[in-house]
Amino acid sequence: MKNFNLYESFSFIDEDILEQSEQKSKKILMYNWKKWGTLVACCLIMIVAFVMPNLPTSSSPGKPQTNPDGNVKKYGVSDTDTPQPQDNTQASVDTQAGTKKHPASTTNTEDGAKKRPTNAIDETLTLSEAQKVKYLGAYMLSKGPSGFALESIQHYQDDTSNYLNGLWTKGGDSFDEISWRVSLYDETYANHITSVADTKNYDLSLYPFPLADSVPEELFGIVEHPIFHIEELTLDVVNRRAYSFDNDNDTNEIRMSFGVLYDDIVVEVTTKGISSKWLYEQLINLKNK
Amino acid sequence: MTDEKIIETFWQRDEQAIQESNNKYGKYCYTIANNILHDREDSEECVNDTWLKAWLAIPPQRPMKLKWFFAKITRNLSLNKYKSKNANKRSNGEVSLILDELSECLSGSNEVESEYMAKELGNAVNIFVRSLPQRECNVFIRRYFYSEPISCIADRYGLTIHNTTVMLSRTRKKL
Repeated sequence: MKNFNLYESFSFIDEDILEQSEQKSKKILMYNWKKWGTLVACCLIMIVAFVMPNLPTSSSPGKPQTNPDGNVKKYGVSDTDTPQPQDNTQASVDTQAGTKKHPASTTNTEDGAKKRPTNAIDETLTLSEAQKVKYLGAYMLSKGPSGFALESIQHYQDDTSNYLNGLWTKGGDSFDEISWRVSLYDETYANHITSVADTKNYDLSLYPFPLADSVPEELFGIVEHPIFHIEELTLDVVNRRAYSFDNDNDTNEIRMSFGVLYDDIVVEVTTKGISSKWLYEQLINLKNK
Repeated sequence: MTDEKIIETFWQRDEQAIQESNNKYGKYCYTIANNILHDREDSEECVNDTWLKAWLAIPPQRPMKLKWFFAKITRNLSLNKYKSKNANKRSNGEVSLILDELSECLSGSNEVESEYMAKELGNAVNIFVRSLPQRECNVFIRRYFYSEPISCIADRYGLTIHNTTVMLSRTRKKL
């Protein structure tokens, strides 16, 4: 069990490295103070906004503030220092489902973590909710093969990303699973697109494992995760992405990982324990969506 | 009680040292064990065995930092228990995912005596993680020393799960 030896070897990590890893990002800790401080400030402002107009004065009773459209202004929490007024007619997001959405927190860690916009969506959906997601839902897998059940579907959307991520598993003692991700195409996928004629970009039979040793460095990104045009996809191509792994602790069934481009939609699949024929049929069936 | 006082109590062979260690680091050690074993009883047993191991090791040892000293003992005990429990069957949980991930990093080299291999690999891993940028190093350690789920790591460092997964994948390739 060589991988277990490697896992055990982490016990020899130096202590200063362990200590360094214990520290949460200072920016996150500061953000938490900002967040709670902002909440308290907003509560106070709301109390003042409601109480002050209702205090008995010689003039007429205070009226709720309204914006030019006549909608009542509400003050909501944002991740900025001062609360921003929100319009009642705030546009709904693309999900159209009545599931709860929570604005993602924004953080700017000192070691350069990605900053999430305030209107990002990060939610768990049912299959039927996911299928209604604009642009993406039609390409979500509707059913796993026999023995597989849907475990979860996540929908994430912000200014730069929009994807659905579904996971089907066999459950019990099995590690077999299907990860099915649907995204809008963007330029980050460009380097992974390959013609099926360029077998060196995707045919795993050409490269013994581990791939880090056998695949030329300039091809590593694309060999690890190629994306095919749906018009070119064949069962033979899918078979060339299939491999198995002799691992005492995991499934010995075949695994596959690649993407398929349908116009401007990318479907990325990572599978363990399903047949290439079944997978190919699911992908081809999406062709006419 | 400070670490220095606890260590001094160990040296005086006062069993209060174990109680104080448990008060201060019991939950921490339990978390490390439970991340590997996902079993309350087994994890508690590993934590108790940690105090026994520490009692036998101090003296003559005088650890610089008790926290890491206990962490490594607990981790090793948990891994041994995991191995003995899962020798002949597959298991669920974070460790199986971690082993799957680490499989990518290994070539088909000949089998070597496992203890020697672990220490030699440990030296190599130390050199490797020191070469990483701080964030990648921290994420890598949280995953493969502490066996933390990716979602917890993402929360800790303010990253998305996807970012964390990609970061780990790239770091494994470098390894």
